[in-house]
Amino acid sequence: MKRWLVFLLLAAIAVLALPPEANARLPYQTTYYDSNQSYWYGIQAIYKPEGAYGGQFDEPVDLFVASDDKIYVADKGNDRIYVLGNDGGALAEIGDEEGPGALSSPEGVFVTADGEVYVADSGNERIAVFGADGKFSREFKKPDSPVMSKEHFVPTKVVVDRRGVMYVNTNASYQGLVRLSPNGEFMGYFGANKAQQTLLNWVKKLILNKEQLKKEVPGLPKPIQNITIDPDGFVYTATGGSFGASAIRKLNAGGVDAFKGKTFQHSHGIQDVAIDLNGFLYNIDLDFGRVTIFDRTGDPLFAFGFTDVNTQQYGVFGFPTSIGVDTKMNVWVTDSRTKTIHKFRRTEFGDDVLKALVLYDEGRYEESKPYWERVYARNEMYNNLYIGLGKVYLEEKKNELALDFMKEAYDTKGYSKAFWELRLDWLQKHFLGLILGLIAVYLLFRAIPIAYRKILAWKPPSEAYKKTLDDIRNLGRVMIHPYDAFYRMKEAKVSPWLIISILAAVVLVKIASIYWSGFLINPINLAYVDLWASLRLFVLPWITWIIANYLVCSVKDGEGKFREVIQGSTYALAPYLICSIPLIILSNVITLEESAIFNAISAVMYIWMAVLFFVMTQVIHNFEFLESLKNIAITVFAIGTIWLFGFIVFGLSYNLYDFFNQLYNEVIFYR
Amino acid sequence: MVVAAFLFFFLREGETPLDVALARAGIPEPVNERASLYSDEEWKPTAGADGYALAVENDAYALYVRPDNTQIALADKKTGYRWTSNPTQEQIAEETVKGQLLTNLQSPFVLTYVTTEGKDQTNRKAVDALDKNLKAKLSRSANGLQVTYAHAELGLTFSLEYELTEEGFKARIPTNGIKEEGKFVIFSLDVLPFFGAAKIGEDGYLFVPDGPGGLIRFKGDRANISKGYIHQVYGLEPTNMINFQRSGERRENISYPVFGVKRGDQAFVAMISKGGDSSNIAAMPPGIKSSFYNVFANQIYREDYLFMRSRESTPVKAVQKKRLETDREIEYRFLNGDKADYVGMADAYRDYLSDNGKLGEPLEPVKNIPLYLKVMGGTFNEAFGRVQYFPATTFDQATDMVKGLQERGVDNIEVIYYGWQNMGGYRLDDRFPIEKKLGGTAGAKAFIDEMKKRDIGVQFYDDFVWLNTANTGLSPKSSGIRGVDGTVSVFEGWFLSKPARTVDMAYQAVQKLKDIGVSGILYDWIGEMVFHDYDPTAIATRGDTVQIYSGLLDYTRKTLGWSGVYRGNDYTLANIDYIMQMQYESSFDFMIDETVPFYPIVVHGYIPYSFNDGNLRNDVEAEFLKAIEYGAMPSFYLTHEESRKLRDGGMYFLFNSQYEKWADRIGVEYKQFDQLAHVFSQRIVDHEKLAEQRFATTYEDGTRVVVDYGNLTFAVEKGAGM
Repeated sequence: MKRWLVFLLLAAIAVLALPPEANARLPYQTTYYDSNQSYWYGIQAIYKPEGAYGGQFDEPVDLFVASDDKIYVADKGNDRIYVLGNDGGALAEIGDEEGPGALSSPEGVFVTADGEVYVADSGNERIAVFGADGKFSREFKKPDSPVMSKEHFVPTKVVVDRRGVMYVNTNASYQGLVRLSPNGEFMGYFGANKAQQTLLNWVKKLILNKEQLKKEVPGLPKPIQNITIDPDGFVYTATGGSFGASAIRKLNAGGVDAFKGKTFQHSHGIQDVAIDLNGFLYNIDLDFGRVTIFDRTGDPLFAFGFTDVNTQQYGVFGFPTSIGVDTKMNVWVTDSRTKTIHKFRRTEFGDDVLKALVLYDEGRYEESKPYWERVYARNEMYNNLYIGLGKVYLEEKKNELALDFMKEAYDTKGYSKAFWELRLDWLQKHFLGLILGLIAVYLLFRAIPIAYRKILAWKPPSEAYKKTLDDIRNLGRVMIHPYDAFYRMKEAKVSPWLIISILAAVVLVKIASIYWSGFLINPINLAYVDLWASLRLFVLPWITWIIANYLVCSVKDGEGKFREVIQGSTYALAPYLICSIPLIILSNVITLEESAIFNAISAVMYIWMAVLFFVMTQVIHNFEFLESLKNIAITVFAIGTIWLFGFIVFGLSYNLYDFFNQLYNEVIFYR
Repeated sequence: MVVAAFLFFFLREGETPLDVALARAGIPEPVNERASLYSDEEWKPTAGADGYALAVENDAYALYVRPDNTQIALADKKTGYRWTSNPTQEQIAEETVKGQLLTNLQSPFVLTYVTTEGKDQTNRKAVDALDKNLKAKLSRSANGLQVTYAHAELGLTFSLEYELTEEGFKARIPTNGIKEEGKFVIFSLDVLPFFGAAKIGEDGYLFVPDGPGGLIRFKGDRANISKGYIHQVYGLEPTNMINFQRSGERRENISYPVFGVKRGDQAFVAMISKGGDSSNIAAMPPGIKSSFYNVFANQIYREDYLFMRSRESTPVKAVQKKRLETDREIEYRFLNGDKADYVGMADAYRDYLSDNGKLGEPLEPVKNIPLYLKVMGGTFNEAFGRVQYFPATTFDQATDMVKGLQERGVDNIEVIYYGWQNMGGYRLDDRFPIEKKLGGTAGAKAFIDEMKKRDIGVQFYDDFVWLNTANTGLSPKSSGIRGVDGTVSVFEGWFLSKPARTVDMAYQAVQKLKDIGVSGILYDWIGEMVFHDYDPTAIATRGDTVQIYSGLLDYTRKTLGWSGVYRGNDYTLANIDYIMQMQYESSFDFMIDETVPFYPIVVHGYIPYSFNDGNLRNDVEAEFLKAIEYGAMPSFYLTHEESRKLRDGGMYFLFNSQYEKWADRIGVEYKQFDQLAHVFSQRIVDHEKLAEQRFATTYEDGTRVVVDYGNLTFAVEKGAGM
């Protein structure tokens, strides 16, 4: 069944690739990550395949790009380290036929700044060191330490820091890297992954006794897959599994992860990670079969390349094992299935966009401008472009442009800054007008009640009309004197038309708040608002509340009639009706920093409503305080039950419908 | 009851019967011509000293055959050069491979057979001419030789015919000659697999139809990497689910069934003249099956397919029961001296096409080079059960666009309008009326009239091939093509229209568009994808699809005056006026050493073509220069709206299309393209690599275009005239 699913999935992917694409066809589609939509979209090539090299390889498993851009490849099958020039041509081989310099299944290679070659010589269980001339110089066997006495020492990867301290990854070791001094003395374990804490383990710990616990297989940390070191001495580890959680860690000398356990995209099957001169990360992943570029904070930027077991194309891997970046920003990937190393060259477009991103990261917005503009000239879809150019315009005080760009990128922080500037401008220009306007509005509001009273005095309304007016006024009274107002209402019968009008007004206000709230409070694309879904979520809880409240309270000897529950629940919405409009206006004039005010007011509004619902229950059903608390709790539970039941009925009937629909399609359409 | 059934029938059947659809457009039902076999009279030659016997000859060539193992040799009477179907005895003696591979190397064919019964259906075995149980019988006609191979044990019989022509010979497998009388059946057949095979280090190359043309040099250091080049002409069969297992592979499908070999100052080019749609073209490096470089056509007679016992179970691989009953024919033409290179091969292929009426008339000269302006009208988007049309360029805006470009000196424009259908084509079989938001039918008319005044053709784009169960009234059952297992091939709700249904829809569109004054249709998918249809009531082959598609293009051209396609597979060449996005890049295969403009050389001067749209290039300068080097026309894909706004409308592929941003840049680029206006109607007569990054293309009148990718420049050296 599972295989069948995979099969379907593959078919689906194939179809996704079917619509005509505007790009020239490289063997893979390059994509960028849109963080707003959490989705990968297509983009022009950032990297192009340059070639695949190495007829001499048998099983290349690791590569290291030396500071002079020579490529060192560890070939596990041929027991050799191959040295390649930057054009892929063979330069030298390291590893003797016999003697102490002979290698056995080397799996890792590292070259120091002065050209010394450290090899993780797995088969010989040692670190072998060769001089810059390729001659064997020394070796480090398993260190003499009681801590390591029981462990095997099968080094698979090695990196060396500036002081000559070696960080050795050993085969399937969960204890982390072995740290060796320049003389080969054991300096302790370093940077082990954390053991996975699952809920099951936690429950087991609670229930099982010591004896039983001993029999459990302990939850071991995952072994590290590959390691890299950057010029500042940070050690990067690549670890697969867990859907990318802690897939790449950036460890300082104390072994603390600067990425704080961040989850990396496209990293469930991570094989290796590389760092370029600017500190951007490049991973190679078996599950996705692609190279993914991350910025300094580990946020994904671009992905390229492809994996296909039967590959016969440049830029498509068979089984990628390791990745490196040289100083010209070329990406190198070892591929043990095609027995080659692939080289990718950055395109002009890629160069522009990555340079812009680096400058942006460093806050050098003005310098980034020409690069962003060149990117903008060729691609208007790329999201970071809008943040980047927005920042540039902000710095140039082109605030309106900045506002536009920030809004396009859904960058609320940048938008808020631009908005603040614009608002300040506006205020400076229109200060007098604003004050006068505010005074006018204030006077108008003062004048309305006076006028209203005058009209009433001049022409007293009929009895029925008066009652309606009184009911409307009750809406205000409910908010300030809830007990009093709900008691009054208990006796009075509010006209159903009024109730319906109030409810309609509430819905209208809700719609207004969806469409007219300020961008900073509601940063969404209005074209994608599902109005009905939003309204459903707004209306249904209220309706179920009425039903549940009435049912529960009548069982619990409440006095309230159904009509009274509806009346009360409608009036309890008064704070929403009254506060929302000022809130909508406010949301359009505040910046992000001031959104606390907005949030505070809406919090007060909701608490106010909760209080009203409480008072309403108490008054209408004539409960005591504690009694009503208890009944409200039961009501909430009842609401949950009703919803659950609803879901189950809906789900089952949908399944039934789907079954018949599928059957119908099968018979009518395809056979 | 009867009335109800009657009503149901009438209400449901809004669909035109398929044969009526074809007849209305004047397209004949596809025919499968079958060559007849030679007479039964056996010819028993005696071999000369070299082991060969002369079979037939004409003025230019003589065909020899070895009676012992049926190897053939072709002697060029002018030069005396002999091409042989297999390596020489001396070379065989040095060969390192053993067993079946070694006998294959000495055979004019390799036949792969399978059984269609029981469990071992995926178990393929091969047999060749050296098999002891195989009997070969020779017979002759006036200019041909027929070898009939019969394997008594396997119960398999087939005939291989060689027929001399003025330019070389044809190798043919008549379907009438194939007999499968036992448990075993033919799966595929390699014809003359080692014809012209070369050793490492020889001067020359294999030519394969990768992208615009690919060369494989006889180098020695590739053995470890490449496993060979083997790809089906016109791409894999889309109805076969097995082909989706290697999903995600992106490559340039073969557009023209041609391959060739150059050795020293001798060369041949081979065109698959019959059954190309069901052939693989294979090129092998040494170290895989022999120590030779060889290239040949592998004829496909059956497919593997996935057989589903039930909905839930894993499908099993099975082999198609019924053989593909079509003739196969490969025409070899020989070249020598100056002509023995890929330019000569392209010349020969062009001659072949025009000899057989497969290439249209040469173009008329133009004053200015045409710029193909693709205008995106708009598209629909679906969100929360709502479908709305999102306009990107109205007809009025398009008018302004054209005016603006003319002001910038673009003097020859062809417009291609996208997304004009009602709701942008949301209902796939319901295109009319023309979308209101763009200006409706009246707006379209006004636009076209304005363009006519300016002598600009307006073509409409449409896709009549892919249908979706959700968005069409046409049922997959009656309009969808079927896989080998007899069920409609549906991919996530999408299915492929039967070619006749495509004609039906296109016919209706053409009739309506004609009234509005539209001057042509750019067809999507027609020029790039073909398929079988295993509908049990009427099985149709890829060859039938080709015939119907050609008929549709012809009809469109006759009715409206213009038809265009994407990619431009060779079967469209006789009936089209434009190729959009013709292949210009390789598939990045390990195997291919060099990419050459073979197909552009064939087509230039007959059909204008363009590459990637100028505003959507991956690599701005390099792709521009490639268009100049390969003689392509400029094309741009524009909108009035900002691209960023289009993403919400689902046009995310138009990442950079706003007219305002591009108008000036187009003006500048057009002037550069326009330097080549005078060679618009000329053939390319030469193409050469001057240096690592410098290439020269020469036209009939001697005009030379030198492109330098190093310093990103090009120069047009005008010729003296014809």
